Amino acid sequence: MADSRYTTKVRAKRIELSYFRRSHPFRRWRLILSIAAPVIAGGWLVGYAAFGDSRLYTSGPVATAHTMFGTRCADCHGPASGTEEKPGAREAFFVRVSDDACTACHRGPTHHETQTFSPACATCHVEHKGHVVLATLDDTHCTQCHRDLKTKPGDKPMFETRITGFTGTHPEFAVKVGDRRVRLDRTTEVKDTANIQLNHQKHLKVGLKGLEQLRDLRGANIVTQTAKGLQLSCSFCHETDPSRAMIQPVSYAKHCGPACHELDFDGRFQGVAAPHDTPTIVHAFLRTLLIETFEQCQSAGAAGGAAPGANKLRAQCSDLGLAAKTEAPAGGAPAASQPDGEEGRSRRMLRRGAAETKEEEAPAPAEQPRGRRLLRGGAAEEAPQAETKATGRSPLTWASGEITGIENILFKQKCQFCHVKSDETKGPLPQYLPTRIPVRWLPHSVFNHGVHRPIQCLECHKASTSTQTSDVLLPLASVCRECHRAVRGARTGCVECHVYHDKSQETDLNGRRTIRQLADHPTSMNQKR
Amino acid sequence: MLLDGAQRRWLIGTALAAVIATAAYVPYATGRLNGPSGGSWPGLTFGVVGFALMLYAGALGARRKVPTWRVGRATTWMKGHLWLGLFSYLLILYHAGFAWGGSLTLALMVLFTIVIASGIYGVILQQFMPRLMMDRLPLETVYEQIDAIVGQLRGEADALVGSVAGPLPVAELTPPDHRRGGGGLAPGEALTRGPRPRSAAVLPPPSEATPLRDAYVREIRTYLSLDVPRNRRLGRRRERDALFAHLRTMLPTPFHEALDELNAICEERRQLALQKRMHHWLHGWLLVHAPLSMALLLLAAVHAIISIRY
Repeated sequence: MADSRYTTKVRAKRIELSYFRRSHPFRRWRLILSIAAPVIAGGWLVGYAAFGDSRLYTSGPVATAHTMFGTRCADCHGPASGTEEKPGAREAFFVRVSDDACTACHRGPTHHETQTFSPACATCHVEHKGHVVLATLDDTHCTQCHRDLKTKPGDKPMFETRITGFTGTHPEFAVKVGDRRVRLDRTTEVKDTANIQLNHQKHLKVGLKGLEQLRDLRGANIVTQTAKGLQLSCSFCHETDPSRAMIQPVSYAKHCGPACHELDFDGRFQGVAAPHDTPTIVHAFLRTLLIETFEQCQSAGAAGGAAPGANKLRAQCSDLGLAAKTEAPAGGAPAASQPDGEEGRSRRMLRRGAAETKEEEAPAPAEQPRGRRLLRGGAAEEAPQAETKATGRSPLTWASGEITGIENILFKQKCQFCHVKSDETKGPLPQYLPTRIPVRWLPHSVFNHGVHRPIQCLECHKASTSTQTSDVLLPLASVCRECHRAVRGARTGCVECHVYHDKSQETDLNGRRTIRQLADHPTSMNQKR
Repeated sequence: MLLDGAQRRWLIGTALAAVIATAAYVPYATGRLNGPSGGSWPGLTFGVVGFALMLYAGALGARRKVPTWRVGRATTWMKGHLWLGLFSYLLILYHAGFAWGGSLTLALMVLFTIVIASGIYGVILQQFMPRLMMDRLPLETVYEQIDAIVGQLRGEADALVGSVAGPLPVAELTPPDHRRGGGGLAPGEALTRGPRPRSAAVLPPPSEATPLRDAYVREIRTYLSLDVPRNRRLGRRRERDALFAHLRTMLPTPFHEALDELNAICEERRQLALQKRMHHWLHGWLLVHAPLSMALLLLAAVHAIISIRY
């Protein structure tokens, strides 16, 4: 229809020849936008630069621990060491991260002295990868050396030389037996060399004597109620630290003594227990106790039956054979310095308790008697006391006669029940070997008991069948692999158990900086330091 | 540009380059301690080559601005722009290790993705839109002249209706002789075949053309304006034919020729409106593609300098 109106030539003549010289909205907008877009982009960059904000150029957010330094590139990026004084053009342009920036806060000690090379910090700890934990590394960081471990010339590798991962060629766990490392799967060689006699099986026996008393004393969670009766929980003796990661050492005062292994020594001294200490301290304690008892019996005999508890004391004195043979002092009343029977006992018990608490914190040297009470029983004060009791037997003589039998019972039946007597004993008192119970069995790894707390202890530690102290109850790697496996299992990364840097050598950051210093220039503080 | 057999060499070359790049990337990405990184040597290599190809693709605009430059044929440039630009996206992805990175790199990747996506969209449109326009728009004209021609059509229509129905009751009447003397016409020269000169003696009196005049003023003339609403019924051929058929029954025979011409003008107007729309579809993506390419190149250059520095 329309074709009939005009020929192509006619239609062409409608068009102005110079139309392309004039701007058309479509072309005009394309030009405007082509200018505007780069201008806006440039303005974006300039705007950030004007405010001194360099976040724009980061290749990603910094790690969570470094978030507060994330906006200041210069805190980590700077000229390499030694070029600050007189930087050339090249040094001035390049602002790479050097190890100095990291060691401003983190010392990062060498992994092992025999290693053939030390990688730069950023080789393993890669920043700007988002909110990650920088120490969480892929196994390849470790296996780049450990899959074919080389050491410096002249050094022999201490560890397995071909390890490619926990699920692969990771060797069996090894513990130190004497001076050498023995793998746990070498059952004939692996031994717990601690000088203590412990039978785990007995401790886990159902219906163990004293558990009800222990439950009343320490709460219900220290025992397990089974169908056949009460059973001691592992966690009663093996307590975790506040972080729940590590198991704390077993303490006599907290775990063995109460209700179970009390150091009572004589039925005539009801409620009195010897301190859990060295034989010298125990000896001093007993000597003091006996002398004091002797004196109290003398006082009680002179005072008659007026004082409260006198009957009990009199009965004890009678049991000890002190009642009929002692005489009252001339004054007819106990000396002011002599403590009352019950009060003295209470005080003594208190001191004993204090001594045991102290034992947990910092054991005192064995040769030093502790506290005034023990000092009073020491040799320095024995002579004057003996002289004051001229009538009948002297307390010293009586105590010396009694103490031999008591110590015989105490040392042989009580102490040696758990402790190992030294063959090289010097003097009249026995000597016991230090227990040497390892605090950490696997020092080259970390293990968090708290994370594993849903699992029963006996699943990993076969304590219910262990009767010997020498039994090492650590689980084999195969036990760990039941959960920590490559497919549908818990993580198997090296860093789950191993730490590259020796944490004990890391920089102590405690209280070194003010808020201003940390917020403004954290790395410059290191340079000043 | 039509993707036909002429592109085969470019397609094979690009695919081969992509395979080689992938063969280099996979062992690098899987074997590197900390995974792929733009700062590593392989990452930098991918980045440098990718950026060079981006620059080449961006140079097409400059090449078009100066068509007289003897730097290869325009079609070769266009093929290079297409295939190497696409390949550069792969290289930049390998450079980035398929990570978004920080603000700038994120902006770069977003811009690059939009540029590539809009380019692919444009290529796809190029495959069928020109053919569609050729089929549907026999009266296609130069896009930039559409508005001018619409003005001419309206003038012609005013003149046509005015000649048969008397003066039109409209405020602004396009002068009948207001035609462009463009193209092959000399200034002031009329079209070879303009509205036919009609003899007033042959035509019935204007009073009988009232339905035509009313329909023209009320509906047809509005349709011939510059901005045509899409839902106008004159834009739909069937409804327009129905309108003109109705007018034909109401008007005496001598007016029918004028009616046919008016119908032809409306059809041309419809095609011009459709051409404009299709042109916007066919070239509108360039309003995104070209400006964002400029911004992308600028930011990529800044990114390259800053990254090398840090």
